[in-house]
Amino acid sequence: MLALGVANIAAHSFSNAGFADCSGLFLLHMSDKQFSARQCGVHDSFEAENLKVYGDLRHITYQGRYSEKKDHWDAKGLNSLDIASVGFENRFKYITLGVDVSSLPFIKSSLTIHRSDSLFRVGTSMGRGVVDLGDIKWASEDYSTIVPEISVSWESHLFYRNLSAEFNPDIHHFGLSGTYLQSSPRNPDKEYYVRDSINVLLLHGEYGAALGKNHLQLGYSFADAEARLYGIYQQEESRKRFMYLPVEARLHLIQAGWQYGSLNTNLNYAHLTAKLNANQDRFYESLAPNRALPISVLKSLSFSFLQKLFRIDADLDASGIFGGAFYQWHFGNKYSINPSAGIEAYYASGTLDVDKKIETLILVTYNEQHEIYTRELKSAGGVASLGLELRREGRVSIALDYGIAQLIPVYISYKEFLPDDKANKDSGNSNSGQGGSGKGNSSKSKDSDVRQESKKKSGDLETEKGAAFRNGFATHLRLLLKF
Amino acid sequence: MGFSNKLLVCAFGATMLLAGCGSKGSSDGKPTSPAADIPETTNFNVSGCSELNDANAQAQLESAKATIVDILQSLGEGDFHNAQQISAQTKATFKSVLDKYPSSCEAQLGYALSIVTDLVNNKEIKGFIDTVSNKKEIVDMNVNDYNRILMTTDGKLLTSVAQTAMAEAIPSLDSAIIYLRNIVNNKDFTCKYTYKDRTFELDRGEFSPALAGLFVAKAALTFGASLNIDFSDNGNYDWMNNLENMDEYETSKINMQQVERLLSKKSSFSTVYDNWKSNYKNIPNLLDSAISYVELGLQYGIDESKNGTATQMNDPYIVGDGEMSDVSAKDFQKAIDSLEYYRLGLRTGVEVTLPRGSKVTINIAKFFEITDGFQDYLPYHHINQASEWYKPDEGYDWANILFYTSYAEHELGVAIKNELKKSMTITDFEAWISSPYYSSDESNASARMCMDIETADDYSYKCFNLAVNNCTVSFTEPEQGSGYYYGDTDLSITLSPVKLSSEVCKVENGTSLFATAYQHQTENFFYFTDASGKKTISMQGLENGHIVNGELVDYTPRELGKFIIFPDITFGGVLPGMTAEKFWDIIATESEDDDDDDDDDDDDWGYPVDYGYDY
Repeated sequence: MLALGVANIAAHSFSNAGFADCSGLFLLHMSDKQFSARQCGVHDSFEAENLKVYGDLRHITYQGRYSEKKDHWDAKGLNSLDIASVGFENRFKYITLGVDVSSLPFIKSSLTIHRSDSLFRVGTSMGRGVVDLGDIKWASEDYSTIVPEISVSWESHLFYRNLSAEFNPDIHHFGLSGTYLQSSPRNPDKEYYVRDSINVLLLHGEYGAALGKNHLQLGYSFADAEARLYGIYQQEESRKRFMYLPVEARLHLIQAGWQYGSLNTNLNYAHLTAKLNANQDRFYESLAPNRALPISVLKSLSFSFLQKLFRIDADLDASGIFGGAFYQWHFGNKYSINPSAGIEAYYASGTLDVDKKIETLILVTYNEQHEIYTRELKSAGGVASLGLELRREGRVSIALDYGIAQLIPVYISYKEFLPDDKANKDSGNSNSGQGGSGKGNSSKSKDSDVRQESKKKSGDLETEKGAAFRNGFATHLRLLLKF
Repeated sequence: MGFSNKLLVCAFGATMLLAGCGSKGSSDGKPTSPAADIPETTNFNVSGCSELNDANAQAQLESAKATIVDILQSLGEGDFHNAQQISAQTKATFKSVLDKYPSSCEAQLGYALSIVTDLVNNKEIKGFIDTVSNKKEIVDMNVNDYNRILMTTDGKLLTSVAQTAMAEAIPSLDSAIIYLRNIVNNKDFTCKYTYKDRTFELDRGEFSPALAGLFVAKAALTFGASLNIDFSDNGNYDWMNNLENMDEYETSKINMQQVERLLSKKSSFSTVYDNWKSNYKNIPNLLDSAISYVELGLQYGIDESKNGTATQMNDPYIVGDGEMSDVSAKDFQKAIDSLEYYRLGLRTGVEVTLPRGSKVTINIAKFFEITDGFQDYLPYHHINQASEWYKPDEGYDWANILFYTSYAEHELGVAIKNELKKSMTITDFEAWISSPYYSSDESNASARMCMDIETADDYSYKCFNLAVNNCTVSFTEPEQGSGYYYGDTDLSITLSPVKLSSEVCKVENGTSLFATAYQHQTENFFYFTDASGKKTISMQGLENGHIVNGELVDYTPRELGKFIIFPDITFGGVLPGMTAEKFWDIIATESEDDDDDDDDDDDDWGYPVDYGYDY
């Protein structure tokens, strides 16, 4: 695309802007947890009178890994995407039309009605397409297990609709938008896959004011998401559900920003709650590994000799506040060197309550066990960022921009709490009460489970604190060309 | 050295458990571990299934059924005492209903299950559980504890107590099999029970695999009770303690007689007791029954699925193609096909694919025809007497330096200990030659012999500089602080020169050369031979590898085939069609390393040879 732009330098009846960029985020790199993402792309757009056309080619890779030391398994997620997209936007006096098509495949169309002076704008857009969320590979560390590795692919068929309105009287700006995103469940022709059914509502409101060199921005966003994820093992005409995760999540985000010349400051607050509700119905277990086993004699025998079912209740409540300042210096005119520096501080805390029910069926016997624990993470620290931009302004403008950011946790506390004796007794009683079969011994064995569980001590979970500095690192490099 | 001794003992222990030994009746005249009595064949008739119309009896059954789950749970948690308490009562309840209503299949089922769970109350088994639970954790057992653990308080061998308990369990299993077989034969019989808020409906799909489980259990118990696993020396395990606690400087005291006896072809260890032979040979038939009943259970699931899932709603698993089912009928059909392949192959052999893709055919039935012990199938070998263990035999060369892996180290240790013993009572002793780490001088003049000497109430550390002349080593204690040496000043020792034997030292052109192992001074416990008894390779040779083109390399599995020769590589027809070449090919393939383990690739390094050997 960039080359295309350069080749077109001669014809300058319209303006052309192209850039190539690469960036990477390395959030975690511990022996048991990892997450990193990288992307590189080229983008080119040109504008002629009312028409803006752009093309974009992008390569995105992200990977995550999680090792569960206790149960000896590893989950790895990896996705690598090459996305090509083209789009145009045609501005008329009172209407702007736009269409984007990407190779995902995804198509998006938008229509905006506005006054010629942009005092107000009302717009709507719609999109539909398929997003490949990658492969998740589950591997047991113990190679002798019947299922050493399962690779599940996840593809989401999405549809979204957006409505937005803007009102810009004088120095003020008011904006409101709402987006509804939905996925429709499909069964791809794959052996192991995740089928999803997602509903997300996003609302956003913002206010801005410009007072000379001062710009103020306030925003509030709300998201409400409901997702049902089904893990399916498909073999010829048979389809077996080995996972069912109904997730509900809510996010509130409040943002405030103030800009004075080259100084940007911001303050944000976010609150996230998420819930995984165990469904007690048959075939709605969180995890039913027997059904995921590949065809074998052992699989067939496993239903009689050892069936395990997991039902997981989980509650996540997390909030964070972060804010800071960012300053960019400018040296030079036509040729300029623009270094920048920023520092942000954050405090985040979250708790995850988990109640894992494990049902075991052996021949004619059935047994239930609960693993109950709370994990709490608290962290405070900062994010320092440095950047440097080299720019040449002119008929042909070129800019090279490089930046790095580093997460610096000052305080991390990651703890696990196990239910205390009293809480245990309560849960024990309520469970045997539910049974209603009135067997004296069932509550007794329940107590012994509980005793066994409470042998474990609440306390700090192992964290590799020394690795903190290596973790949470982001960098980007961008080359921009405009003529 | 203690560690390798433990390995040796474990290796022998394992060989004995797998291969068995003993004295084939005649070697020492008296069998030390009598076989358990053959259980009497249980046989009685049970009537078919009929409805139970007695509310009171029904209520009794319900409560007893619920208890079975608790018994199994207690057993799963290892809480035998709780299981023992509730199981006796449960069994009695089922029995009383069954006496009144002999054709109640529900009572038969409950009684069959309680017979199994009530095995914890069998006198012999209870005795065994008590014996074991009064001892320490068996898995943490040290060889030193063998005598205490393997002998019960009344002087019986634990192996014999265990075998009696296993034999005692068989008639109970037989009764349970008879009841359960009757239940399985009544195709339409189902049984409901509620646990917590879930109702389970059990039918032939569950009874049949349960019955299969009983047949497998019977096969396992028969196997356990049939083999002579007594590895004591006339009811005594001192020989193991002696091996474990042996002093490497006083090998003359070690007696390898019992080890030789166990591994000898005349040994009765691992043979099948005469009175158990027919039961033992019947094990393939038990396995055949087990497979047949699993197939029957799976077939029931397939048949039930033909009517949809409605009748299966309370089954522990639902057979069907949809998402509201656990497993498809096709999966079950494929499983039946493979099981049938294995069942038919029990007597003719089945092909098994090993983890790395090698295929091997195994004839299970032939395995159970081996009743005269497995010693006949061990590779040709010869056990060395302890006096041979520290002599260089293979995998060594002559070097002009004493340190690193010279066999002279051990010989000097023996000589020093013998000399010290004349003037003091030593409880523990260890001596080693340390290389001249404090000096760049790589000659014998800078080597030191150091030792830990322990007496009943004292411990001393001493070192001596060595001087070698014509294979005679003399010792002088260094000054305190010289070359970082700080020895025990309270103890004053003068050591006489030691003349090394021609096995570990020779003189060439006026220089003393020492027999030095390529890698480790391995104790030479045994060597392999060919059929005629001619040595092929020793343990020392195997562990030290060999020199190829000036590089030291370990033996590959295919090379081992030239040295380790089995009298019958088909193991009496267990591996039909097996040849030595195929066997070692399989070992080679299956022992290949994972390519993706990047830190594991040191296996193919050639060792640089820079120890000053003459090749």
